[in-house]
Amino acid sequence: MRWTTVLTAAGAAVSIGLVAACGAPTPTEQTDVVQFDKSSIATATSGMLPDATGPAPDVQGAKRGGVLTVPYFSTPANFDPSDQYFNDTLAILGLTHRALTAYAVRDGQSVLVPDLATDLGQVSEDGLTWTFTLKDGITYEDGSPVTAHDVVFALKRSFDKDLAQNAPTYQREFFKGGTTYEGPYQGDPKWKGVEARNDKTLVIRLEKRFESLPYFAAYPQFSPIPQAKDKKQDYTLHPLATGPYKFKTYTPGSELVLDRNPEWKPATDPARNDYLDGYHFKFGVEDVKAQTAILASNGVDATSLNWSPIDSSLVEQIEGPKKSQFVEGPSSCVYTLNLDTRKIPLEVRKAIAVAYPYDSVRKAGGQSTHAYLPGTTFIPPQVPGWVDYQGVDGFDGTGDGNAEKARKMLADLGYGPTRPFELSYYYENDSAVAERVNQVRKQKLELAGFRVVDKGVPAKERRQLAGTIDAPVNMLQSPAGWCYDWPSADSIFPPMVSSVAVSQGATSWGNISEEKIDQEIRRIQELPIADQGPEWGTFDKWLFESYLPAIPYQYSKGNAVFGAKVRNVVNDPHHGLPIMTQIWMEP
Amino acid sequence: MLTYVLRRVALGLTVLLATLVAAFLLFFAGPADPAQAMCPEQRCSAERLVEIRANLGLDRPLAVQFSEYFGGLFVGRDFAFAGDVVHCSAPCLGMSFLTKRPVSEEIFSRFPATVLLALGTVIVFLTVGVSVGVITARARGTVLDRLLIGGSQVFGAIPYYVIALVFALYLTRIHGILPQSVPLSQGLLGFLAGLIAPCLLLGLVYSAGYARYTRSSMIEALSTDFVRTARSKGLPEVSVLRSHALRAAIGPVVTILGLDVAALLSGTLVTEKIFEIDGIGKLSIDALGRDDLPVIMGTVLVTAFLVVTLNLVVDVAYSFIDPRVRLS
Repeated sequence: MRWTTVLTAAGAAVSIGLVAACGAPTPTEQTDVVQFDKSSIATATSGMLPDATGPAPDVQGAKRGGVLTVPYFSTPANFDPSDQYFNDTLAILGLTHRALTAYAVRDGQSVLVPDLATDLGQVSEDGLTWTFTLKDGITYEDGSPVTAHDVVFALKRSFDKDLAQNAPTYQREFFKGGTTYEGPYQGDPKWKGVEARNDKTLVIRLEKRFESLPYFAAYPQFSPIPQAKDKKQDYTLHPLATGPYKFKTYTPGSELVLDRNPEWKPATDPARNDYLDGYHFKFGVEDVKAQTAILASNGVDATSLNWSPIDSSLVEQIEGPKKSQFVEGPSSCVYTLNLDTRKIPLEVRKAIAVAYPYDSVRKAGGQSTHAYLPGTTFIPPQVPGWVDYQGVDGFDGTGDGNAEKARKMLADLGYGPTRPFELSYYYENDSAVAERVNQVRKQKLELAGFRVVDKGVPAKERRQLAGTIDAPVNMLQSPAGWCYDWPSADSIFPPMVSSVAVSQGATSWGNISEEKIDQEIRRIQELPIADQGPEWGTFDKWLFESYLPAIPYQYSKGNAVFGAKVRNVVNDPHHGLPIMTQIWMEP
Repeated sequence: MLTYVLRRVALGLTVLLATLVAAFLLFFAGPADPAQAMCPEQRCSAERLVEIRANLGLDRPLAVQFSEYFGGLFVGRDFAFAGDVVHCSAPCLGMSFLTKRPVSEEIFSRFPATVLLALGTVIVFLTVGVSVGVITARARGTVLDRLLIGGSQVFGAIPYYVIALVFALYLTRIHGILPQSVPLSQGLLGFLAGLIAPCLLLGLVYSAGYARYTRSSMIEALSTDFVRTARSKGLPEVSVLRSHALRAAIGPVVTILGLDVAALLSGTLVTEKIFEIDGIGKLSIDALGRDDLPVIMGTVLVTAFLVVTLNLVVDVAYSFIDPRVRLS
């Protein structure tokens, strides 16, 4: 099952310029239900280390050498730094393309550190002008020097609608004049949203405060591209590297081979180690087969890694004899049951939260506990400032639905057998699994006293209908969840519950449009980033208890299966993929 | 002879044109929205979709779109991209929705892998299949005949994807008896070694059929007068079988061979996917899953072209093998 059928995270948040970073499409996850200990998730504390310097700390016992093979299911469209948004390509480009900032591992935490820049940016008093200075001595793989002009050009290039069609759109929303700028080829040559003061310094001008800009600056859109060597759509065939690795061969749609970049200087890089000699990424490979072969670890498989959710047929192996070849950890997505607040009263929404059979649905859908963690909050637990709470008595993201309690709640509101509250939604009727899931869901909701009108449509049609704001249904529309783009809830709540989406005819959580929510979002967004965490935590609880626009019930997990010679696979909690540069292997 | 060939060519071209029209209508006038297919995960706003439709020329009359596509096959086409005009050289099969690279580039770069796989498979099933067919025809009714034919029936009855997955997993990965597949870019020898497993498997599966065709044709040929004459002339049995009986019996095999080679050249989806061979089959199946319409259409056209051409080759070759065909 593709990622989009489980989590249609985009909806039309594009219209307000903010879209979630989607994970690579993955096949269905399977099996039974087990409780997971939330306290074992590593929480990033402040999340930022502006003074971090290179080289990156050594990994104990690590040996140099070896080539890691990574076969997996999806196929990246391209590796043009201006066009990247999916987690898999971000992980891959993180090996070859340094940006202004980057994520590093310090004391078992994932934190933001300066990468090509000397710090995490200097911001003016009014928050509208950011200045970044580049480190000395940085060169591309061909020995030519990296300049601030290159970063400026790259940022401009990320505005081109053709080249950067799939890119995040924060730059369009926040950079001054970004909503109308069309890029360096067709746009206004006098645009000053980004400007180089000299070879070492660049300035970014904003429309409004953007306290999370340092996080955004870790995206490959902030990686330098020399204008003279730009090849537009052919640049993806060999984008110039600044990281420890460079492109050796790339066959679009098939494979990518990386080898060492001799121009990379470890002393300037606080984020990356370079134990491996190279990487070999293979696209469009069946995950089941790849995972089975990797666990058997013969030949090349002993030095391979697959980062898709573990297939149900292999759960027994990775819980037993092959435990050492599997790693799981938090990932950045929260799954929600979207409810239309315009059509369902708040108290009825709370009854739905109590009545919904979370574990039964998971079992029917074949979800393995290695793929999810039950939850009750909008913000995933690894984000700084996370507050654990249960917004409705009787709801904890697990269980088979408390029909009795829900019926009582509905009765108190005047709904009963003679006057049932009607729930309507679309579901996919062209998949046996989806049918099974729907049966369970419908049955349990009806047991709780609801009248359920389930409309079966083919999967592709459902994806389209789910994004229609005036569809004749009142729940389970898009977005079915959200993956945060950086560890701060300002990349969750503004796109999901501000009124901008609805005002532009797009769906959001609850299709909600509340001035109080908008005000509170604006207030918190303007606070310094270090102070925002706990404020968002409080906001999360308030949103749930006072509005409940959607029911958050689980978070995604990252999985990795690797061969017997691969060592130190550490899950990145903000992307759900291994931190590639921490990996080394036995000869 | 010439009229025969010309007639066949004209027929072939008609079939090709019909396929082109049908595929075009299916993809560009069908229910799926190509502009939507070009936007992964519905991340495009309504205005962006309108823009894409204009870029692809989808808002123009079907006839105009078709003539552009048709013209592109012979003289190439121009596309607007990032303020530039990008030329897609002939034969232009469009630009992939996923990678934005010319479809022809994607298909032709994957040709060598598929051709080598096809070649290997043909070698296996021609040697094994035809030999088994000849042997069992000669030894008709014996235990050997029953064993070989019975065995091949069973083998051919197992669903291919099951047998391929089991074969690939157990023989090349879990137990490493046969070499794993290696991309062609990493060296020809490694790639050829990796082809042993899929060619063997696919060849054996095809052999089941070829053994039966050859066997029944041979049985018929072996009972003809001219074979009896050849034997009575005192010719060695090998000579009788090869130069007389087989020559007459090979007709149906050649016909089917033409079709099978065409199918193999257009890529065997399951084999390539399971054995991780980067050929046209894998490209087709991946494109199908992603709604990459230009690539799907491109592979449909290439397949149609191969089938028509190879049919033509077979028909002409047939007339050399069996002169009786020429006269009809």
